[in-house]
Amino acid sequence: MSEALAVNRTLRPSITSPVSFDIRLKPYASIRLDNGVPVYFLQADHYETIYLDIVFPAGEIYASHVLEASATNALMKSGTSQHSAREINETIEFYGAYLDAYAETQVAGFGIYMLSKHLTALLPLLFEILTDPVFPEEEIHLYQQTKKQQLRINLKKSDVVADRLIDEVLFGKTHPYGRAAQESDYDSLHRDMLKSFHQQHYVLPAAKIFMAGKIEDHVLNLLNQYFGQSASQHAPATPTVPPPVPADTHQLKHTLDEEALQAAVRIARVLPGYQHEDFNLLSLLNVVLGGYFGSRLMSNIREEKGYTYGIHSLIYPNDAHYASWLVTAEVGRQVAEATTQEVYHEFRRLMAEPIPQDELLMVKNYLIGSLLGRLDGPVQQIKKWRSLILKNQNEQDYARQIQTFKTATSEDLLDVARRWLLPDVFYEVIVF
Amino acid sequence: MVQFERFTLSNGLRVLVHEDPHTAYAVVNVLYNVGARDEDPDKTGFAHLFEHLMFGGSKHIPDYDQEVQMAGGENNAFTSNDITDYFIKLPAVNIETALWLESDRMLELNFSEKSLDVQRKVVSEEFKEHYLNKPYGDVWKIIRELAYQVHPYRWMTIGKELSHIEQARLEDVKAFFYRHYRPNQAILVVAGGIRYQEVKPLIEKWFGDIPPGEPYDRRLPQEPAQQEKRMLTVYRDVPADALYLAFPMCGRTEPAYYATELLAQMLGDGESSRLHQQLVKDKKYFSHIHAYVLGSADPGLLVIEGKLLPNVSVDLAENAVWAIIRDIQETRIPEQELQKAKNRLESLFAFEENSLMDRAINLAYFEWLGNAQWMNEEIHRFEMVTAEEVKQVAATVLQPHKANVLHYLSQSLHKTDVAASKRSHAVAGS
Repeated sequence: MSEALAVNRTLRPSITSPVSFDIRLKPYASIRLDNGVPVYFLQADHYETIYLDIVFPAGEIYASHVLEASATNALMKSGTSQHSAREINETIEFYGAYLDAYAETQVAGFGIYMLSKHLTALLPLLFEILTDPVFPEEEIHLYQQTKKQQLRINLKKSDVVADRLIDEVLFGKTHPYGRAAQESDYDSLHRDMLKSFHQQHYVLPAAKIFMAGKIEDHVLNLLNQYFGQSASQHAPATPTVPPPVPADTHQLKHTLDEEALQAAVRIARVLPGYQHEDFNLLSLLNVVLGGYFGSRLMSNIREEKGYTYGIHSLIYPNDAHYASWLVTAEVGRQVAEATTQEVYHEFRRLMAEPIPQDELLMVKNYLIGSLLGRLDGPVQQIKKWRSLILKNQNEQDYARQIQTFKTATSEDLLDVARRWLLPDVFYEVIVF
Repeated sequence: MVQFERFTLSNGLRVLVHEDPHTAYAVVNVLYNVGARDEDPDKTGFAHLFEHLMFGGSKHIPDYDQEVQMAGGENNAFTSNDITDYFIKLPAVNIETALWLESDRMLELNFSEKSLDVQRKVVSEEFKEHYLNKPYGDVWKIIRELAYQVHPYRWMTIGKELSHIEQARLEDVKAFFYRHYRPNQAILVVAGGIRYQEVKPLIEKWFGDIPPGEPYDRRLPQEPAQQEKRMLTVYRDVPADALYLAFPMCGRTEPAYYATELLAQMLGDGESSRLHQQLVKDKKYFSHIHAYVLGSADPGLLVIEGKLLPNVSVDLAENAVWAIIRDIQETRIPEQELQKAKNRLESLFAFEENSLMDRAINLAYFEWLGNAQWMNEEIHRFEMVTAEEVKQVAATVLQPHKANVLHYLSQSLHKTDVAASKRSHAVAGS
């Protein structure tokens, strides 16, 4: 211990700035199945597991009824002409697999996590779910009952109500990014709607497959055997998303509970999507504002004033043309107004003063370090590739983004803040 | 199989090092042997409040978070009724920064009124956000008070009430630190893209001179065996009725734990489980129902919880749950069903093993339970369980006179019952 006593704790250990890291995605391998379906994959022999994701152009933007995309996706695994919902669940769970059925704004599909040794047993079932769902009336009814109940519970939560309202305020009640399901929407679901949405949008030649983990030799052949054969159908054309129709007034207050202890605060605006030249700088500015623990909003509103357990900002990239920039917090009821004032104060500071050099370096180090952390492991890497490929982007786009994060100056950020952070263009929702 | 090296410093700090050549990332995890069960009944929520204060700066480092972020890292912490756990995830080249930070706050915290004042408010908002201003938010407060009468598991980690947090004083903070946050009360795990030979001297350098504290003699009142069924009905402003059954079960390190977890899985984990299949799909009493165990160090709870569909009476629903319980107690459990539960755990372990963070936290946790090596033996212990053992556990644990039953009912669906219950309270003088 004598050596240990000499340690000087006021001297911080030297660090390697993550800005100097060379961040690259591990290149994927890819093949095309006989019908042209691309398979992108990363091999990791030290894994015992495999992740497989099959993606279709079947997201919210293709749906005319607010629940068409999500209900079709959710009910595809509730029965095929060969197997009942019960048998399907039994098989998936017997092999210890986890099936993640999802409908996003652009795409919908199925991610499946499993032990590699069980893939051969599970692939035929996945094929059945994708190509032969029958949407039994009884399962639809059960889905309606369960989801309506969940909705009634959610509509008692101020955070959920605030999230629904802010989307509606930004985009409009009928817009694909602004609408939200009501109980009556569940009632109006019916079998023909689901069957036809499935037939038009879960078209195999339009699928993309992403895979990572321990991929045994026969797997690619097996994929071709199941997913590479049907070639006749055509993929639906991608619809044009209409422009947002925002609310007339910028401030909306809503009361769920007269005696609520907290208020859910949302402050947001629409931004151009990921194709816009400012998008990468805006992403970096968002981190400074509210994208990490040491952000301006957290430092001021949580760590200085104690108004909230957490306040965050994020940019949600809906598509190439539209993104939403959103500040969210649950705060003490009495400090709801004070919170919104502080949020705008932080906007104005970012528009008025260049970000100090040491803060900017910290943000860059944090951001690059956390990107490295989020890309740790083949599943995370293939998910990043998926996100790029579905946006029609490639490694150059990714490299450009990293380069912007590394080289952006305080002046660059001051410039984008002045153009995009004007408090007057933001919309505000407070739910008590 | 997770490989690791283990050593103990002369001040009692236990250290585990796990090398992973596949990553350029590293995790530093520090587990302190203190949780909400160690709190004074009049000062509940303190262990968790204290966790927040650990980020308020230490003796030589005024701003903990800034240093982590500058090194490209992220950090967080959690508190349970048993333990408090802190972790930093950062690029492996900057590992020494994490050791510097964790050792300085283990040496001495910067006890500041300002930090205490702000974090009292932050934790009060956390309390409101998760437990007060949310439908069904007080369920766990009620269940704990029903199922535990003397053991400190009778309060939630967040605390019994807001006032306990509001009353916390700086003297309490200091006393708590020197009682519980000493190296001999902690387990350090360093994992990831590091080399044991290189990191060991750094650990000795930063942690070696921290003075140990008095050994902590944990003497908690143990819960006496439950003798009769406890029932409680409450009415709240929620849209759906809910049913909860909580049964006392063994502690995490007892041999029966494995059969108990498998039992809970078969009853109510997944859509093919007995409860879901029969009561959601076939009878349509519940919109969802599941079963799970609280794997706490001291005897825990096996919990069955579900939300009822409209127009289903809670008594009918509860009877249906009891019928499923009797069935698993009385009839032979199919091998296929037991195998399914084991398979699900096997893949769950494999997914956890893919994550460096989960590996680091689990190593610390199993070492705290008794031996980090147990982490690698878990699958085997589950595999050894027989159908007969599961049935045996079902018979001993799921007995009516050991049940704690909560009917958590919707005010708006039961207007007349609510009025009746208020009258009877008035008669009882409450």
